[in-house]
Amino acid sequence: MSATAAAGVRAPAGGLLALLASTDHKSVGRRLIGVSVAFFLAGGVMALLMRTELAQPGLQVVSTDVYNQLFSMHGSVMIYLFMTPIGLALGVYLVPLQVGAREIAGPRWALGGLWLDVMGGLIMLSGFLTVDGAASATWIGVDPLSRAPNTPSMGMDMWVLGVAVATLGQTIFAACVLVTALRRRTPDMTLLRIPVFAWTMIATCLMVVFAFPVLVGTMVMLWIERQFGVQIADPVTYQHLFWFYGHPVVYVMFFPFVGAVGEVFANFAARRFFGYRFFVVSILAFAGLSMTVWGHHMFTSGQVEDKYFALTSTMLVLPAGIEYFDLIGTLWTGRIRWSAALLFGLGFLLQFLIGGVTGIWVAAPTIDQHDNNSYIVVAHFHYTLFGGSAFGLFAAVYYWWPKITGWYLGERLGRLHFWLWVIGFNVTFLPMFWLGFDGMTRRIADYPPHPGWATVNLVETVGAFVIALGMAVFLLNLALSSLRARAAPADAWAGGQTLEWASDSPPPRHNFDVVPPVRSYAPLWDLRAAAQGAAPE
Amino acid sequence: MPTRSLYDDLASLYAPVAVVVVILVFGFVAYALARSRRRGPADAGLAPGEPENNVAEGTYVAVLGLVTAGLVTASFLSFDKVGAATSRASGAAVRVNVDAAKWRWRFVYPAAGVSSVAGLVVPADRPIRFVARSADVLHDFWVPDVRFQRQVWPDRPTRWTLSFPRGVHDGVCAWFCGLQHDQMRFIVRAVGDAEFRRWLAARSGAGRG
Repeated sequence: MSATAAAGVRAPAGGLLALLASTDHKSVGRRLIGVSVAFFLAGGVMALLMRTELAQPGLQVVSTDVYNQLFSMHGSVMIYLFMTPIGLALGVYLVPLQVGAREIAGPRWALGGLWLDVMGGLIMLSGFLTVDGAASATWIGVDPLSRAPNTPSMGMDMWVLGVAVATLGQTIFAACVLVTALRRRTPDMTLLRIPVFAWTMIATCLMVVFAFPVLVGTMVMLWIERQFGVQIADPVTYQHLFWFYGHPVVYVMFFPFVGAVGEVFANFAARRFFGYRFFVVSILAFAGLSMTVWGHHMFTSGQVEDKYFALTSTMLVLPAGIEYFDLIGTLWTGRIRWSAALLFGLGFLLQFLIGGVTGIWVAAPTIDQHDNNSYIVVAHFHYTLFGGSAFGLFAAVYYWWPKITGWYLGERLGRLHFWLWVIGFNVTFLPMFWLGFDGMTRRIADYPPHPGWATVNLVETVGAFVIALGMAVFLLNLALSSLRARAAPADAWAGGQTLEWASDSPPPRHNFDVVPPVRSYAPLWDLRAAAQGAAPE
Repeated sequence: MPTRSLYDDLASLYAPVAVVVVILVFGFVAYALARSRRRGPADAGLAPGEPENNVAEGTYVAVLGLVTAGLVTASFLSFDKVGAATSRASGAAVRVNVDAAKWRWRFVYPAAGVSSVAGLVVPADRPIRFVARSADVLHDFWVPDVRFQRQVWPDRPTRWTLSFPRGVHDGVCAWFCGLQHDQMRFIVRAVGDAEFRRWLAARSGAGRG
């Protein structure tokens, strides 16, 4: 204590002050993860209400108006307040550790970003407390439905404001992560020694800083249009502006989990990540290409050059194919140790595949002009975002939990959580491909008595409750494991390859006493190989 | 060629490719897992294996590139055929103005001075020319049976040509348009030429529908 006082450094604050004002990137990251999971639970409850309503034709549980609020807010919460910020939160926590930095770049900016994210979320959700309820113009706030004459509710105003504020916050902490990865690395970590996860965060944050300000600007525009009754952009322009953000964000919600699953596979296969250089090039090419595909959301508008966007969208096969090759290559010669984290990683790999393949399917305009706005699209993006990203997220959660908290989550309950989710997820979303093909549109509270639709919808609703049961198992696991608090050593999985596993669990305020030498993207693997006298093969 | 068979043609190329890709990936993952030997964390030796194999991966990317080029080519050829089938203005048997508004469809037959809010009636297997506008927000004209939809805008007309096989087809608004969006449906009745003329004559005699 006297040493820090002598150096003029104040001791870190604790309690409420730390909760509000700590600029430690690990604390910011933890709070961001916690807040995002809370929003995830809120979005999940909305999904359960919708699925309950859809279990039978007709209206039984909620009114059409409330249903429209529920699906608009479910999409908004899951995208703006859960999957996007939690992917970035992993970066806020882990990137400084992975690159051997003592601190994130711009710690106060990162804290400010957290505040904005939370404020934006609370503003958006408090629409439910107003007389007319929350926003009901879909998660894309489509114009002209989102204008004051068509959706006059105050909840809609709060949605516009909430999206702008939360997205601004996310832009800020993404910029902090990007600068940390590019400028704060330990001196011997060259660009091609940056770990796989940190590379995916670089690509993610590049997309954020280029695409997210466009959404903030679009929301400011919509705000002015709603408040003053002026028209700044016509409906086509709104779609262009929105999707210029709205497609890159899809990969912002994907890349962090590709990187996380890559780290999980390498660790639990006890080998280096396979095909590192191809992977790095592919993830950067993917990020670049992601800025050119937005028009595929507008094939049925008749207002875009369909062939151009069909070409760029189909070309995504190449970087995505490389990532699959490298992930499978990592398993190929590995010595697999089974764990909940590995299972969730495998779930991510195989379920995202269905989402990716159906993405190429709807990238053909001929096919999209039937499938667009149908339940095929709903199934497709839930295979990417839930079957893919959410499974990848929980691979990351089970994997890095002992690093972040210092204690392990229970393995057996973790595996139960996994299997409940695999069953629940596929029972809920696989039949939607058929429903959509058969002509069921998305965003409807009620559906006509078409042969088979009622039965299929009922089955899907049962699946949704199995997913909820899986989430309850996770929360139970969290509670029981925290009581037991089985302590984790620095290298919690006895095979960590990247620098965070060289620091304590949880890491101290300054992250490292000594940063180990870095000779590749897997520095701890190098040290272990050297200790065993085995040359890295 | 009708839009439905164009969709089916392209789908019958895309679907097998998708199925093969899924089977290959599931198979490779299953094989990789099956052949790995299980080791506990205590004796976790480092697994063998090259950190990268750029010849194999480069070859794989080249194959992937060829498959992608094939898919894009097929998609473009199909798109051109759809364009030829759905954008031709001349030679249409009937012109219908689509008037979409919250939350109903009105179909106007300008040549006969007839309008219908009770559904769309057309001569079967004849090209019908549509000119669509919205009175308020975005709507979307979708007839799943013919695998075709188009957004309908408030600030600009959307034009397309479509033919329907004989029979009754469901139509919906596919784009969320507010409170009663889920009720914004219509019926397409594609009938014989003579029956269509009788229907039109009865309507124009009645003044309006």
